[in-house]
Amino acid sequence: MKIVIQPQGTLAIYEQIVNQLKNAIVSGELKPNEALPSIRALAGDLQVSVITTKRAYAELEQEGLIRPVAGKGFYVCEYNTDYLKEKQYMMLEKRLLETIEEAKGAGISREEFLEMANALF
Amino acid sequence: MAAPVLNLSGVTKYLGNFALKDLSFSFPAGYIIGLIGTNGSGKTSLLHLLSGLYRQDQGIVQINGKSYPQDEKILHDELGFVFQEQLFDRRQTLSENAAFYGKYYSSYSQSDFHSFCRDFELQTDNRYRTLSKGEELKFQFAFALAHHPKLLLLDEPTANFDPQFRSRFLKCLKDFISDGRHSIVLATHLTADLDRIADYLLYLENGRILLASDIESMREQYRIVTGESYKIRLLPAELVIHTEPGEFGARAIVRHRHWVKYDRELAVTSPTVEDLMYFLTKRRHKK
Amino acid sequence: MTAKIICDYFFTFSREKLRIYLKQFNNWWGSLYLLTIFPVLMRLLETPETAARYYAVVIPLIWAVTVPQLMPFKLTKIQYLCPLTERERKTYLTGMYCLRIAFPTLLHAAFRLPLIAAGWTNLTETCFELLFFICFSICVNVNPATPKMSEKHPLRYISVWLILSSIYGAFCIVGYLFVITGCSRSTSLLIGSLFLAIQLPLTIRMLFYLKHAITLSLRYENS
Repeated sequence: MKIVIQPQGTLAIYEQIVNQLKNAIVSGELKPNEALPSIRALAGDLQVSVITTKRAYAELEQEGLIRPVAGKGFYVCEYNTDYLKEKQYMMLEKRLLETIEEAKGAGISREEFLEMANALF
Repeated sequence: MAAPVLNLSGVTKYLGNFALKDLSFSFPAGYIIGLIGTNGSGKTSLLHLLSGLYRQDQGIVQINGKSYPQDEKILHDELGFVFQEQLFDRRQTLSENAAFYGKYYSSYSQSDFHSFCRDFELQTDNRYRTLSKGEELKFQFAFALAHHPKLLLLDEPTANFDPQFRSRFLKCLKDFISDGRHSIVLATHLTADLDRIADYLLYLENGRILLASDIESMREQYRIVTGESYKIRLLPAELVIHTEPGEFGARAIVRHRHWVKYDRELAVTSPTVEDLMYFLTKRRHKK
Repeated sequence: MTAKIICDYFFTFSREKLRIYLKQFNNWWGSLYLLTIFPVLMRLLETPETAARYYAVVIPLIWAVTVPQLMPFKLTKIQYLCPLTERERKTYLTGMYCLRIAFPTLLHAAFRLPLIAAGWTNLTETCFELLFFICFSICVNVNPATPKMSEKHPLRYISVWLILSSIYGAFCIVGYLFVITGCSRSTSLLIGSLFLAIQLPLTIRMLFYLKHAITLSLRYENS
């Protein structure tokens, strides 16, 4: 598993960690019931603050993706792939909507937009 | 929460015409505490207070549950320092100095000292007085690590390090706290370092605490909003802490609430430590 | 600890410190005056006896003055930060003070030995001179080497006088009065003991002040 932090990125550091761990879970890189690196180990490895890493784990826990095991750390939950996919769809939809708004603002037509999307995909 | 490494309540210390006033905070062990503030805001005085060089006039200072003067020897055994001054004997070489003062510490290891020096590219048989400022801080740091303290007090160490060593230094700090029992107080002007590695922030201004919280809730509490001036003016006035008008738009720091929906054309970001210092200091000056 | 004290005492003369010290002209000229011009003026170099008596006092005397000037007396910051107990700090400081007083005195005594051997002086005179010398090396430590004496301290204004009078006592009364002015040895001893009678209680008072200064220096803020 690889996590890359861009300190000057637009996303907050904890969000970057959350997103990348999420991707690892969805793509199956992290299997259910697999142990995650400990908060301090990950923080040390990424050279980010412990509190930030803690927050990222808390976020993932809230979303039901990982669960804490007392004295042992965090494990990946038995998740429902469809549910996760659904959530990702929803997020994508939201972002797309924003992009479409922006395209409309710039006077780009539907055809042009689809063409652009096709070319980029 | 783990036992607090630092626990101060109502600490006041008069120093000539400057004073540290009514400092109260508590931080758990196992973290990096970033100490920030403008020049003369009392950072070094606070570190002197924590290291037992100064005694408070009022209030309680507890470090790992112990306090000066009754536990002075134990406390000093558990504290490591990097200060801006020349602390050691200028006539002697680095390893002589380290060996001599290391003897006072219960868990000092000369071989650890040598390996840290090799790591930091210090010649241990150079005389102390020949060291440059950066090398001197490196030496102090190596010595501090070699006696295995529980708490490191670092006063502006990074400014004199070259970029290459700075990242190694930050790595050392992360390694130092990785077991959750060691803590660091890091006073610095280079806030970019803190953005990355600090867990808690303690912001001093004129001897008083302006902010003491963990870095994530600081980021959660405030937002930096950038955009056209009139849109900034439309933000709920009670939340706006300070606005900085510019020619092509304005920047404002606001208190963040979950229910606030920002205009889509405004850029909303979490503040960096530098933003926070900049705006909070501005606000004080306006008052 | 003992080794550290002795080492710190004798390696005070780092080159840069000496340079700073020599920049203060008055000290430099003072020493030069005492070493060369004064003895010529007073015609002390005419006989080997007076010359030897003179230098036996003046060399340790300059040493005793110089050390406190070079090394303002306090613990270094690292010694406040090291895990030391107050008691250990006190031992160091006290040891240092004792050495500052004892070493010049011993040096002086050593210089006096050949004088006794040559039959130019006797034990009584030497004891007198040593007493004066101790007084001198105590008083000379007070202001430059300790935290500044408070304005209200009763000894503040007489410390300079004490220093001067012990110099005077040491190398005029006992040593020269009879050599230069020709008054009898017993008269000069009598005048010497009168001087001592005033000097000693004041010096003892000074010692108490030094003790107090050591206690003050145990805390970084006071030093």
